[in-house]
Amino acid sequence: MSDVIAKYGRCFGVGLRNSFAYRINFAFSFLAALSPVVIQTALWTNLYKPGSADLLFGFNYVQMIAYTVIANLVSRLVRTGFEYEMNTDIRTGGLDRFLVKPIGYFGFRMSVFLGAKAAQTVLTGMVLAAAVAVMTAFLGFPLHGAAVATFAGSILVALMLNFLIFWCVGCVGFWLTEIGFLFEAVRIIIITASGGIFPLSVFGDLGERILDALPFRFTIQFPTEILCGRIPVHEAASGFALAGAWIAALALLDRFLWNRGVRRFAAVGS
Amino acid sequence: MSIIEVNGLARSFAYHEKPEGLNGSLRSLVRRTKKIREAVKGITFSVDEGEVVGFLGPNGAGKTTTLKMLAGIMHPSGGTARVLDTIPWQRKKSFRMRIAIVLGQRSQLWPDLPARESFLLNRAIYEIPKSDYERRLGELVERFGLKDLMGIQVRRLSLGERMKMDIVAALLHRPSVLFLDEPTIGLDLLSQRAIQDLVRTLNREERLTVMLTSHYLSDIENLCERVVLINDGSLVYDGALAGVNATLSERKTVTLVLSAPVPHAVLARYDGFRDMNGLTARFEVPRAAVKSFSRQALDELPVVDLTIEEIPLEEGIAALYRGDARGEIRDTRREAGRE
Repeated sequence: MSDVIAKYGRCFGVGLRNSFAYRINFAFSFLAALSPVVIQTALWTNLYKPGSADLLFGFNYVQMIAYTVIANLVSRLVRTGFEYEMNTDIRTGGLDRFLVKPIGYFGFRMSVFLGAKAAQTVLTGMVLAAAVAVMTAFLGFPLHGAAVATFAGSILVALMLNFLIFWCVGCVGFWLTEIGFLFEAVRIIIITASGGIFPLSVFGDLGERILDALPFRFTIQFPTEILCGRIPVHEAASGFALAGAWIAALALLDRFLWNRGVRRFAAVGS
Repeated sequence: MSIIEVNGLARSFAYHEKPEGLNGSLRSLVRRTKKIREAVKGITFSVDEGEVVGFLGPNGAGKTTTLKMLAGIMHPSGGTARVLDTIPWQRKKSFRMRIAIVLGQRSQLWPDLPARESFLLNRAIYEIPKSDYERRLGELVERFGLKDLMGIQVRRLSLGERMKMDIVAALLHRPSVLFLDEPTIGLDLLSQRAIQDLVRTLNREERLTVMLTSHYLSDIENLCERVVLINDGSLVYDGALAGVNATLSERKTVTLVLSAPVPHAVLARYDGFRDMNGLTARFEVPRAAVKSFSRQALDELPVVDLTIEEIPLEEGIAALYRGDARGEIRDTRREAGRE
């Protein structure tokens, strides 16, 4: 058991150190994230009448701005990227090095992903804390300690879920090559379906009901609404339970796709 | 005792034929012709513990495909193989703990990290005790003179340095079987020799079994007593390296240096004329005729120097690749086994 912990702990360290190697890239991604936040904030500011307490899609002005900022940061935080490496490993045969070693590729990628996220989480957490502090001071954003703790738990669930979702997407590489554009298209659709751009209520009752039945909302909307106080802490338990069920279902799907894919890789070669 | 047993191993690949031109491309969108390429066609051989076997063949002969099947990366489409008494493509942990493969054109290290990090990762992956790891790493790093390069990102290393690092990574866990696919490709002579020395030492001291593919004959000559040659997916020779030239040993190369140019047509009249380069002409002459040929050449041509040599190994291998010598070379290894 200690050998397994040491093995995947070392992989975690690789992800952590890799994220330091690309820290400037990560810092720039924050700057890039500013523009959609500014555009959406301007959009909502124009849509809400000044000083009114009107609700749009179930959100008042402060809630909508808070949602926009927090959802954007959460989407940065849970964003993957390993699917590109997975695709490269499959396409170029780099997967060979994992198949001949006594280590699981899933465990390796998961550990590296979490390692990379560890460093990014600290930085994103600082930006998020600053954003929340500004919104609390100037917009009267309500902040509760219990919500922050529940939010932290929901981020862990979101990371796990997003990893499993994009693992499925990465497995497509076993059947299709040159799928960079597919990844981007799928990412945009998933971010939208996760509530990363607008709250899901924007899509109307039917759209929201459909999206509620999918796992994506647990990656962005669920944590964001917990921190915004729109999902009371005592009501979050059912959300966690449903997310847990999705994690179990996706883990099974991932395993199925991986086993089929590796069998194909071993049959066709790189 | 055989550590690698290969019996009728075959591997075929399906591919789609794409016709030429725009019309062809459009047609292939609707209807594609599926074809099968047989990369390995039922080869059989075995390797004993502690052997270093050169696995040779021209490009596309099926060498890498065979090594990949033996390392468990690829499933065969026919036949069987056992490595370390295990079916490789079942990829059991106990099997993976005891083998290593180095693909010369594909690094196993993490390019953005210093090699030291990759080695530590390998230590964890192979569950190597710390003291063993440090001793082993120290020996390998010392031997290759890599001490000052351990903290540099792998992608910043030269090809030779990177390859040495790859070999160090592959040997940390003291594998019993090592598959080397073109480990010296593109390397300078010193790096080639360093890798050859290491493989020879580990084979001698640890009875490491090695299967090596290389287009550099120096690798083969310095490391392998036995070679297995495949061409177009089929085995064409399995035996002693010294036996490769067996069919050609009845001939010698006679090289003449001339004092003045001689027309090509005149030289071509002599049996065994091979080529002319400036004032140097090369002939391949039956051993029994060397004396008479030399006398005739000295009498009839403006010869200033005459050299008689054995036919180089490359020629023997090339003859096997071309199929010229197929079936003529005895399988010395199997014959030795029967004796």
